[in-house]
Amino acid sequence: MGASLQIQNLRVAVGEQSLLAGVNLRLAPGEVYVLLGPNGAGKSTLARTLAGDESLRVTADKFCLNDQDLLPMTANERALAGVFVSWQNPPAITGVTVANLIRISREQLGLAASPWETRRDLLETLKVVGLDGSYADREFNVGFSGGERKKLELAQLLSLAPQLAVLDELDSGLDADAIKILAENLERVRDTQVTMLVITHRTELVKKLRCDRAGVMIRGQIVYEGDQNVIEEIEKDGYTKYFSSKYDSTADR
Amino acid sequence: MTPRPTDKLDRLLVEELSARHGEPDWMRQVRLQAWEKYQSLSYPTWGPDVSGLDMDKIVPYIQPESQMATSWEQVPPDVRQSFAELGIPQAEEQLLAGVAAQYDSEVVYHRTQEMAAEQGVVFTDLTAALHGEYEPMIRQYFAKLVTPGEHKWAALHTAVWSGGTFVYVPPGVQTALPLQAYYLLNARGAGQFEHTLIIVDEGASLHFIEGCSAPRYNVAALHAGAVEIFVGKSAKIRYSTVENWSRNMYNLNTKKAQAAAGASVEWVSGSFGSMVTELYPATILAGAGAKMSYHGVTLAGSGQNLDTGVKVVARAPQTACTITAQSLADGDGVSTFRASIAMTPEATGSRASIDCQSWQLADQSRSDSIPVLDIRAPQVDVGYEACVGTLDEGIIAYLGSRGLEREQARLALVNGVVDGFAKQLPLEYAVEMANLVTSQMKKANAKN
Amino acid sequence: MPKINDLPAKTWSWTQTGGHGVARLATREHQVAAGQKQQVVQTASDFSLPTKQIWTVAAGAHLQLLQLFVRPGERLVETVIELVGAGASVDIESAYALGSKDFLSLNYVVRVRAPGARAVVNTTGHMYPGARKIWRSTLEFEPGSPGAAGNEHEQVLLLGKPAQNVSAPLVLTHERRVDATHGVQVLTPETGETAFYARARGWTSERLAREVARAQLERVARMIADEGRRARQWDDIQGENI
Repeated sequence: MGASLQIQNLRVAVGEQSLLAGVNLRLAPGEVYVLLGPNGAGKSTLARTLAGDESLRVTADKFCLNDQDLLPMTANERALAGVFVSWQNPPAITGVTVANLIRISREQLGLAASPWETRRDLLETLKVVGLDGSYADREFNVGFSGGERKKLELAQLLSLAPQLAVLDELDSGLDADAIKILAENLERVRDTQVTMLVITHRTELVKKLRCDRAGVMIRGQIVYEGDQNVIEEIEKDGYTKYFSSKYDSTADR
Repeated sequence: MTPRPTDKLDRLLVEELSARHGEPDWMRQVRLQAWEKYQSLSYPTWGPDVSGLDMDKIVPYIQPESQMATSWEQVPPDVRQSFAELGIPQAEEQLLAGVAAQYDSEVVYHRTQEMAAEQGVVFTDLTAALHGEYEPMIRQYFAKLVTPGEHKWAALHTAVWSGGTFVYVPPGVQTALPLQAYYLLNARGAGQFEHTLIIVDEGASLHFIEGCSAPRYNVAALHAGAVEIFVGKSAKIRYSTVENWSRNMYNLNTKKAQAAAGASVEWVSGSFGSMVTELYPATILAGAGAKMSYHGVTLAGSGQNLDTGVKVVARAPQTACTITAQSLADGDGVSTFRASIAMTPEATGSRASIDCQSWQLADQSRSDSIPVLDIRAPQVDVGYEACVGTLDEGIIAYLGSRGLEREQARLALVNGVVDGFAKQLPLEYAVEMANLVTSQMKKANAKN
Repeated sequence: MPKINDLPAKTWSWTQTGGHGVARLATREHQVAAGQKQQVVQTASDFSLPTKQIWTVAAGAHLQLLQLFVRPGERLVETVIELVGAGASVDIESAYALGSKDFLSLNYVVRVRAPGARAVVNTTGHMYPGARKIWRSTLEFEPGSPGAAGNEHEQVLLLGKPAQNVSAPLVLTHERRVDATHGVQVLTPETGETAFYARARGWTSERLAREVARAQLERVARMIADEGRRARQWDDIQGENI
């Protein structure tokens, strides 16, 4: 069962620069929430904040996963508590194979199975996300294209059974076929009741995915929330209207 | 005091040298202690063979009154030929051979001094400075970086040093033009055991050019000079050398710089001349964030054994060092590249990047690469990459099909290799360097 | 004014890397006959005495020497390869894992004496705080080895301050028409983005460092041809003690 997420007045800065200016967001367990917004709005910052990036200065009135206060928790502790964040730019890790990364992550999260089962599951998962079995023994992300890295992020989502999945631009670098596969997989994940925060600035993926709510982030704040129709409106008219002071409390300053 | 009529290199000579220059007693003591050290140290057991060095021949030419040659005709023909090849005008030839009228030398020397003074820089003969207001400063720094205990040549140098340069750049002064020591040395006679002491104070910067591409001739055949450079916080020095000692010389120079926090030391070093060279500019990164870079080219032709390289000791956090070296050997020459990169446990977070290319241009030549890395600090990033090869015969053939003779093609490729280095020198040096490479390779192939 | 800090009492000496102070090395000699291919697997237990091994490789023969030194204690190993026949080749792949009780001195000397010969020396390893290691590798191309090529490389991962960490890859060329590359990389565990990523997957920094270190050993173990031996070596390098 997915976790609930409660965020009130989340402010994030790096140095003197403010990145998130008071974000409010509540996700019910098992909810699928799509967060849209133009580039630079702060969507990825929200994802990294949830992941536990220590280079950010974070304050909030409330920042909880179920009953647990996330603020004092390290990245490692949050992962163990069930938070999974797929990265916009996953790094390459020389010396660690794809298989080892997933196997050890599962071990750390208490999902260990026999090595044979783990290997079998991994090969199956790679196939499902559209990657050849040979990727298992390659060094993690070394020489991989952007699209391949995103597929591996999805493979990890499918392998690590989180309670909250924060998916940061998982659709970038993917062509139409790959987006179709991604949408199918996310539907399957959704069926396991995982709470999902799907972050993107494109509409192709989220049109295919049924979401419960959709929000629009402008300049570090979520300025509007609605249902699936928000996605259609943005596809038609873009983000312009959300920049007006009717939505954006920071506009006209 | 008239020069003592003797050929002996001994303690008495050291005493006399000090007395003749009227040095303060502390300098006399430094010399004598170095002399003791010289007696007790043995010759290094590695490096090129220096057994051909005749130590007795050194003495007469330490006398400051002696000239390197009293007339142009006394300069050997191949040296005179080298001047011609390098395109140096007659008057300068005479100056460089030490036969110019005193008037000319003095004029050049004073002009250089004036330029320095305009920039607020102290630039003077080291011996003269011992009698002036900077004597206490010199006392604080002299022989503290290149110490007598370092090796036998350093000990000899400190005992019998003669002539040299003292440079002090006050805080914040950015020198607009490079200082060139060459004329200064020649105006004062012998350049065998010259001592260069440079102090760049906080926030200041200096570009210093040593030597020049013209061959420097010395019958005594030994050059055991020393260069000590102290670079203050956030100060900067670029030390450029194009060395072309005549082919009978043993060039055993010792150069060392110490960089304080945030300071930067750049070495640009071209070695083309001498019979034997042992030259490893060393940098001590003593303060946090200190940086050094080294770009060196060595081209050993026939009859030459040039053993050059670079040393770095990083003993403060967050230091950086970048080394690029090109080591070429032609004819039956031997070119050896040595590097010593050491990081003490205090050098946390430091980086070093070393890139060395060694080239063997002829069947009889020899190119060796001998790096040693001693890394004891955590959180460092050190990369050493080097390659050894020869000129691409395919490219030579291609250039042949475009009308270049083999020697022209080889020369073009070698110039291509050293081009990056030449670009870092002031223009007049870069031009002379091209001539220098040509003349080196011609000599190499003449012997073949 | 720039200060004269307390300067080191002596400057680095080239000779610091030379000699172990060991009077005697047990010497072993081996041959690889013309046209033969041979793989030899060696571990610390093969070198309980300081050892010099000399391998002579004949024309067209290939020697692959795999060496694994996992927490070996004190080991001094000199490996001399003589490539005497045209087209002879050697591939030395070694790996080490050293802790504070370990001192490993490896000296590889490859004398390339024939045309078209090939030499590779590739060592990867990691050092915990207090570990001691000297790695030397010499590729010497003698006259009469045109068309020969060689590569020597060491990658060291530092997991703390080592007590001694010396690397000296030498290339000596007396033959013009050869190609050689040599290098050393000294690395420390990833910080920054990579470490954050691993932590966000539930890893600890120590686990990440240990897995990267283990990969250095697995690199060599994976090459072992004999299945039984490979499985045994593989098991030895799993777990915490690497």
